[in-house]
Amino acid sequence: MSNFLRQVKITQPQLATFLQHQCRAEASTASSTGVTQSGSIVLDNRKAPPPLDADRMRMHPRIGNREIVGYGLKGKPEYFDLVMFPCPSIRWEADTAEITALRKKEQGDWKQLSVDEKKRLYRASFRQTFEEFSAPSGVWKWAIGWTLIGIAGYRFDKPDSMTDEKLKRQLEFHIAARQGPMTGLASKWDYETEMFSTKLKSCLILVLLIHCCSTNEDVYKEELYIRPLVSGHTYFNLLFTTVASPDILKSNIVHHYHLFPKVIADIVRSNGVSEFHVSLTQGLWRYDRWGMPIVGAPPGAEVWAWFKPDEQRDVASRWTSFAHELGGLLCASLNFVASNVSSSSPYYSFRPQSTLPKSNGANLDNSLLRYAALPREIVCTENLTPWKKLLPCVAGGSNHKGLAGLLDNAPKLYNSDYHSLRMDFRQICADTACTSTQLELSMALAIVVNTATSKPNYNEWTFRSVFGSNVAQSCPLSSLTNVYVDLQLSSTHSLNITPEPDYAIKQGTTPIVIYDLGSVQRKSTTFAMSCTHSKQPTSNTDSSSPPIVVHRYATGYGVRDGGIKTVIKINEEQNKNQITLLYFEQIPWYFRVFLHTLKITTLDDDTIEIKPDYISYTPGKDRERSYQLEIVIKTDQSIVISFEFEMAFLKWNEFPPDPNHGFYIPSAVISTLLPSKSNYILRSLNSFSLNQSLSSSSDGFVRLYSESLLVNLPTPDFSMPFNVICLGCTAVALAFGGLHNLTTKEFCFGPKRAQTPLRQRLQDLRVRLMASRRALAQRLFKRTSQKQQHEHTE
Amino acid sequence: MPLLSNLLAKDIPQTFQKFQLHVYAGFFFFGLLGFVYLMSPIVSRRNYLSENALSPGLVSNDIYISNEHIRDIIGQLRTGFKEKNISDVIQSMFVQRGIEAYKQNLEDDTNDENVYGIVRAPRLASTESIILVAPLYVRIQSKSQPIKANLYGIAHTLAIGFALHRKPYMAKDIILLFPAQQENGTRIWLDAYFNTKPDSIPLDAHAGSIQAGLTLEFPHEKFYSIDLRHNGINGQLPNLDLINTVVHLCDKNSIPASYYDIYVDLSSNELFIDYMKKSLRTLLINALTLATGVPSGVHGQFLHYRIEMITLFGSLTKRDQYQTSPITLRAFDDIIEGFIRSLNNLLERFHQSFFFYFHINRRNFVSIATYMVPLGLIVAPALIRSLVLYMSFFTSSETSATTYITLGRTMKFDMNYSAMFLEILECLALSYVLMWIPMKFTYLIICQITMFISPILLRPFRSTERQFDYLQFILLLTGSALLGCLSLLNYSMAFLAACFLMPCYMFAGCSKFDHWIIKYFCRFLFLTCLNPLVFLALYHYLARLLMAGEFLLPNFNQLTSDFDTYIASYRLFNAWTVDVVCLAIVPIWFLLYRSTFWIRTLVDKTQ
Repeated sequence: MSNFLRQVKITQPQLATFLQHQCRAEASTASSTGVTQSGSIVLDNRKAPPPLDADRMRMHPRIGNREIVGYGLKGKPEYFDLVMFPCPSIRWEADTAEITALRKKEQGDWKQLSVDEKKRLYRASFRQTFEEFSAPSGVWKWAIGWTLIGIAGYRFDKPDSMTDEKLKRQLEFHIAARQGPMTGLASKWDYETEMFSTKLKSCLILVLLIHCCSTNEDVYKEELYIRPLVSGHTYFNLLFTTVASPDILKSNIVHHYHLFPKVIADIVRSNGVSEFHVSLTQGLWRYDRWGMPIVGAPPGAEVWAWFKPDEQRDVASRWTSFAHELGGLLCASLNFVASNVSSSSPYYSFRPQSTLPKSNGANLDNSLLRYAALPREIVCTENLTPWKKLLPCVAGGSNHKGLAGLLDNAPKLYNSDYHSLRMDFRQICADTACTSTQLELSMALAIVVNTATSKPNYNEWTFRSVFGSNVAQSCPLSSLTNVYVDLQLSSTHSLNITPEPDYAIKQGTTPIVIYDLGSVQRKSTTFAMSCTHSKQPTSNTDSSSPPIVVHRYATGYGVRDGGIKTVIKINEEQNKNQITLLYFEQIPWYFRVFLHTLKITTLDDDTIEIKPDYISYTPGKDRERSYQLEIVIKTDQSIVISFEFEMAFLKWNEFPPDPNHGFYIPSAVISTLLPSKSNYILRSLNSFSLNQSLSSSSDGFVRLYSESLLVNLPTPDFSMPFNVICLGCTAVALAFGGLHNLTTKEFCFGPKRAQTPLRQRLQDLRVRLMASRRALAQRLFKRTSQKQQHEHTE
Repeated sequence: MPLLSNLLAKDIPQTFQKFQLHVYAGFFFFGLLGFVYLMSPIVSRRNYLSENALSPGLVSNDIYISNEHIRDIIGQLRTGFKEKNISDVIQSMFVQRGIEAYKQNLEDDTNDENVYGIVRAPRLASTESIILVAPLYVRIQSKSQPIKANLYGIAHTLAIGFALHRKPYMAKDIILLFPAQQENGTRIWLDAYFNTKPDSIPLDAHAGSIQAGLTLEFPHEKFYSIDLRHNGINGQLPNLDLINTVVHLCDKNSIPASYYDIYVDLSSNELFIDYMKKSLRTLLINALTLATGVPSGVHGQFLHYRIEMITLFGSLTKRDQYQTSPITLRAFDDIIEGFIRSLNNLLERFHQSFFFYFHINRRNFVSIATYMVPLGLIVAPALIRSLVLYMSFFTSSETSATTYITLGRTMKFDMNYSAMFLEILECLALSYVLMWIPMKFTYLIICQITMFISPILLRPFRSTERQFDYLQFILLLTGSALLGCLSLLNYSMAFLAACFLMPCYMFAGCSKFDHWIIKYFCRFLFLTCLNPLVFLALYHYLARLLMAGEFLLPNFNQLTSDFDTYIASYRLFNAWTVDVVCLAIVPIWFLLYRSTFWIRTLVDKTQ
């Protein structure tokens, strides 16, 4: 048997059933000794049976003389019938003389045993057979019967909430809480008349009308502008422009959106915004090495918005809700810009970008403008994802079509020296005569990637190395899909671009090659681009320095006062004429700027002061308003603008959690018009889409952003304020008392009181007591005598 | 407010009056012993990194710089040094790799130039930066060649800068500065960076607020240990966390790090007595060098601008008998890389840990709370004595019984002040003259001699005992206030000044006794032991002894030359040690000296 078990591998349930039968069979036939000796198969019963007689009686007093045949389930001498464990450790019946005789007989040949005897022996060992104790008892019928009777006997009421009144109230609550309101066309169905409501009918006609018009009007363009730079970087600018009908901003109608993102329209409509700009930037655009960007942006976040004048709510509250909503949309902490403390309304620096004639005038009130910057904002993929979702050709997953396909690999886009997300919304003329208006939403992602290789002066990039993917499919919704490569460098560098461009144009002196991805032959194929450019050894590098460069830095050290110096370098070879610079600075209130320290000098000689044409200075107020400085300067040389400030000591609860990191001063903004012959591709105000600005001559308007600054304010040692304050106060209190006493009071010696013996004191006490008693008695007597006298007089 | 209190001398226990001198001397010596006791392991604390953000840099390394690369850089630098166009060579090396680099002319006749490159971090808009400084030339302690080109330091700084150029994890710009003319070039660069001087020409590029940095001085191509130098201007010290980061990195790469060339082996191999001796030496040198107010390297200038920095100097001394090979390139680069990455991870400026401490050895330090106690013990007698004197005035005024009435107020004790203040003015004037003369040791001796014979030339004021006590009282208060202020600014200097001034007070006070021998003994002591020049010489000898670590004979020539170089360098660093000595400590001493001539018992007797 044991051999069999060793050789054959059987599964656990098989073994269990096998053992059951084996055990029962052996128990019914063999004696106890037999079981224990030959029972190598019975796993638990392998142990020798416990000793008998006196010791046994002492150990197991309750089982009488019932024979212990094995180890049992737990090693205890217990009897039970169990399917799981069929071999109990003791027999069922106590040993009687009859059984003992039978056992003896059992030792011999079993043929001599009668059937009854065999049964008797079995019953002595076991109470029930396997069939008997595993038979169903039928107790469930009893249980269910009684439960049903119990249920039947109980009277149920409808719950309180099922009454009609409560149900109605619940429905009202659902409507009030807007739980799953039905929207769209189906919600207008009138169930009573079984037709669309009359209001809607007229609406529906309108919608159909709008639909007919607007679908034709919505235009979506996508462009990619690439410029290899001298410094070994390459500038990529993805531009997505949507033009839509202005009807989506009208209130009280059903709006139909085709390509224009609904969320943006909602925000703009509800807050009465006429145009806005928002940018989220990581890194700093290096003007001196990279030239001019198409649109500049300061590090961190920047928002400005023009509001419509004739609205019910005031601008401040609209600005707050607009910033909150936009911040929520872009996952940026724009809610910090909302208050008056951090926003301002400059006069000249941020005029409306709209091309409409009514907004073009300079007479527009600057109180409708709000500008704010957050230099501390950190830009990450969580900003890119919601931004990306506003584009029409972005599908779920990574199945984007058109140039948006390049946005798939977000970490690649952030592994760059400069990364800037931008969104501009404005109103433009639909035609040259400006008889009708349109809305334009321009979204752009600019990145500057270091494409230099280990080989000196040799640059190499492909779409895959920069974006991590190629343009797989064209976007069917876009009316224009172009890739431009700016070949500014071709004069000094040898450029090698694959594939062959479709056609080339010349913008000023800059050659540009263009790929039209919407054309028939490119439409169905994957578009991949690669480029290598290396510097020709003969050429010199300084051939194209940018026309204007800004550099700003903090001066001074320590935490009492400091200053800011802004150097505006103008390339004097290119600018023969005077140019007008608009300098705008918004400084948090805790840097108290002194206007009298404002000094504008030329860079070469700091004794020559330049008088600005216009200065607008709004002094800050503690915890209410920031300092704003706007200067208009006409100059033909490089200039230095410097001023000084004093630092405020913040209240302890105004410090951020990392006070020793320092406090940011936002970038200064310098706006100017570049001379028209500059080589840079800039955004023209006529159209944010490059396609149009390339064909028309640009007006040369640029906005340059300087570095943002990090300055340390006086900061208390937060690590152990309690210790210091408590100890300091205690020391002052202790020392002050003593010093005050010493300086204001005169110490002198009183006469020493003579020691009086106890007996003397007791005597004194007695005398005093007697004296008081006498005094009391006298007073009483006096009163009585007075009475007597009184009576006597009467 | 007039003093209303009326403390009387008779309130003081008579026993105290009797044992006053013993008590004062006891305080003084306990203070001295207490200072020495600071080196015991019971008092000192083991250092730790208080700022958790510093730890990641200690973990793993990413950069690998090959030996060939370093050798190539050193080769280029060597030709640069030979052809005297080192700044051009360094700049062209930067530009080749696409890193912006600029030069700054020192605007003097030497035509030397500072070079600096900025490795821009991709993740941040140049608002914060870390600085690595490698002076073009380094002072070394050898007679034949006072300065040597910092070849190895420059090469490693450049190599680290190049290696970190395109690392995506860099969040702070790295400024690599190579100043010419050591401290002078550094000062000019810093002035220009922060635009502190109106006439300084602004730099072409900045990199935001500089957080912290490291100076590398490695003149020798091989080195066996690193010496950490942290003394700043006027006893300023860098944040302890910064030093601990470097020490941790050195320990991790098993590079022996030492202070003042004293290496304490912290393993159990060393005898306890050796440990104590070395710790005491470190402590004393620390106090003696910090007292001068002159920094021990270029980093001192940066500390002045709140840029935490220390200097690593590649020392040729072997710290272990088993150390046969020099420190490997890899280990050294790991230190710099780990340091930069630790700082890169830092969100805030260094503000945790300690700014006031004394190093016992590289792993143990004494904080300000502990080391202030000995100084307090030393200065305490001055305060007690002034209180005693103050109380005694009332007794004497009672006996004189005349009260002057001035402006309606009753003076508690009368005094003829005019002569006394004339005397004080005289002494101050003399010490101001001392400030004007060129600081040469010989001139100082002449000056000292004038001071000594001044009581004979300008007959000092003949006073009563009360006036003498009053002067003492004023001087004691001034002295203790001075030492109290000084102890917060430059503890070591305050300690040394207290060690010098306290015996002076005592012996000046002793001259009150009515015996001519005592009087002459006091004057003699002022001429010999309690003489500032003698103290200076003693200080110098002690410092030399401690620095050398072995017995030396006093050397007068060494003293004069060291003093001259000290005065020359002191002007460079905005230090105020000499000013404090000349304008406060010397006048007090001089007044005390002159006061020993005040009371003339013999004359009084004849009257």
